[in-house]
Amino acid sequence: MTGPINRRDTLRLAGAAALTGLLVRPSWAQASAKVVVIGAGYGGAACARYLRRIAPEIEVTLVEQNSSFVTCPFSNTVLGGIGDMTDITFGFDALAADGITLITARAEGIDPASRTVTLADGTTLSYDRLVVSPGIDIKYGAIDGYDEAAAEIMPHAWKAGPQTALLRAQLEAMDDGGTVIIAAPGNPYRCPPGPYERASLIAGYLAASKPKSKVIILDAKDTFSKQALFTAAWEELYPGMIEWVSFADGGEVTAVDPAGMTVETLFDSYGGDVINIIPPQRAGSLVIAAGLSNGGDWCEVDGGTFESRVAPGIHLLGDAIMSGDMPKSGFSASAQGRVCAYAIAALLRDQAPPSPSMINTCYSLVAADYGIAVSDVFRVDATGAIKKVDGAGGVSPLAADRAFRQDEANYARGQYQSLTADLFG
Amino acid sequence: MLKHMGLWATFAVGLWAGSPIMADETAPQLLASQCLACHNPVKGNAIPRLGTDAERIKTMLLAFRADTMPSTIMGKLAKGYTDAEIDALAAEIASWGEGERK
Ligand SMILES: Cc1cc2nc3c(=O)[nH]c(=O)nc-3n(C[C@H](O)[C@H](O)[C@H](O)COP(=O)(O)OP(=O)(O)OC[C@H]3O[C@@H](n4cnc5c(N)ncnc54)[C@H](O)[C@@H]3O)c2cc1C
Repeated sequence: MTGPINRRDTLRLAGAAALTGLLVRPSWAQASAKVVVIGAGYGGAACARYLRRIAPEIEVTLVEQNSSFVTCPFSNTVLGGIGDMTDITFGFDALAADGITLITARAEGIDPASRTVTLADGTTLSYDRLVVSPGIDIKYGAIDGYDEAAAEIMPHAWKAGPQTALLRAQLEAMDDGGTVIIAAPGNPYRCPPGPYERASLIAGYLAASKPKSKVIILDAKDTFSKQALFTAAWEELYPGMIEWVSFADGGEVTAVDPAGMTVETLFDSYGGDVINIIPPQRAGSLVIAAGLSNGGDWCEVDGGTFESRVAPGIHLLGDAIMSGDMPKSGFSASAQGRVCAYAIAALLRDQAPPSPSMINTCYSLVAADYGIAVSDVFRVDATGAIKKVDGAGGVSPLAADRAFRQDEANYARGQYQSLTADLFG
Repeated sequence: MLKHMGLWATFAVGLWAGSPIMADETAPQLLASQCLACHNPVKGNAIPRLGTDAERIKTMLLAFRADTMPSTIMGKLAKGYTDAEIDALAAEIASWGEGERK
């Protein structure tokens, strides 16, 4: 699967190199080009595996802090009691079998000038090109009183793993008639429909096991992803069980009191038996500390190559970037990872990177047998901004029968199986 | 040798920074890489496998795009591609061996 660039482009590129007084890199130097990828999640695993497939001459080293990956996708099924932690946990054996060198360590620093990465034990790795897909970190302190200790009482469960298990255990321990509070953040954040899928699947669990209970969503937004579809489905499946308080109605949570199990909003105070705070987020701390976000919360990239706008030679993917019209989803991160692999293969071969085209589809389960979707096609404009293709894409129809919802629930599972197999299988 | 490579890489980056020179058309391989996120034929996947016959793949994509073949999301996605891209996608997917289909 090589040779995406036609001769005309190669000539054009050679011309550009000549104009700027550069020589094309000799072919012998390409033999052992080194790419380091940090993060074996949706963006990093996709990029590393596709790079191996497209350009076997490139050495790929993948640095990941954890020895397995727990997907956020389908973690809401664990909360709803229709999925298990083991179903959403993946190892990296298949990546090693591809010939990727795996290092289990936290990357502590990136030095763009010397093109090196420093690991927790002090080891340094040098690279010709670096790919970083670190996901998000929680902005502790953005909500008054919400720190790492508070997250053990009011879990965010916005990174899957122990936090998911903790929130599930709290839901199981709650008495019938209890109140579950979900605090949803303002844009942008990881997985725009995620809080509402979560509310749905928790309501599904409560409706079956603790029917006198309710779910209150306190929102820092006035609208949300697939809102009409979610709202209609809640009325149909869980009437009266889910209450949504918009930003305009004072929904934004500004402070928490873990000891008293209460949260403060602009106008009110709410008590909950289980409180899930989904706080504001930012790019993973590694890239913030390395200056790759230019002092902001997210990193700016060229959407054609995913190369950083501030540090040449460093490519950034997934939740950590400002991705234009593309939402922060695992599907998007992996789509970007594939495009980035093609771009890096071309750049290291002194070819023009291919013009990108990407897809995203976010399925949400409202119940085990009720799925809804939003899908779009994306291109990159002349400025490097990622734009939705007009006339394509959209959400599931509002008027559809249960067979259609069942189909989309099946496809949601199919897509999960398919993508996780592409990344880890 | 490493040192030389680093130097070359720096030059290459200097060349790309700002306005990368992109190929005009999207490479068929890259276009098709986007399909595999869903159409990876793992056991029990409710999402249909990609076809092996270029003409048939093309006919289906065109029918999805024209809404003459019912679908959940394929109609919405197919509308994002030109005739030439649909041709290229169909040829690329049909060219895959069983192994590449996974
Ligand atoms: C509840 C929920 C449901 C979701 N459902 C869906 C869904 O159905 N479909 C969908 O497409 N998306 C979904 N998402 C979104 C999806 O999880 C993210 O968009 C996706 O994980 C982003 O990929 P990424 O590569 O940017 O980050 P991640 O997948 O989080 O990967 C980052 C990796 O980098 C590692 N890492 C970070 N820093 C370092 C370091 N310094 N050194 C070494 N390793 C490091 C981390 O350990 C991690 O493994 C959901 C999210 C949530 C919270």
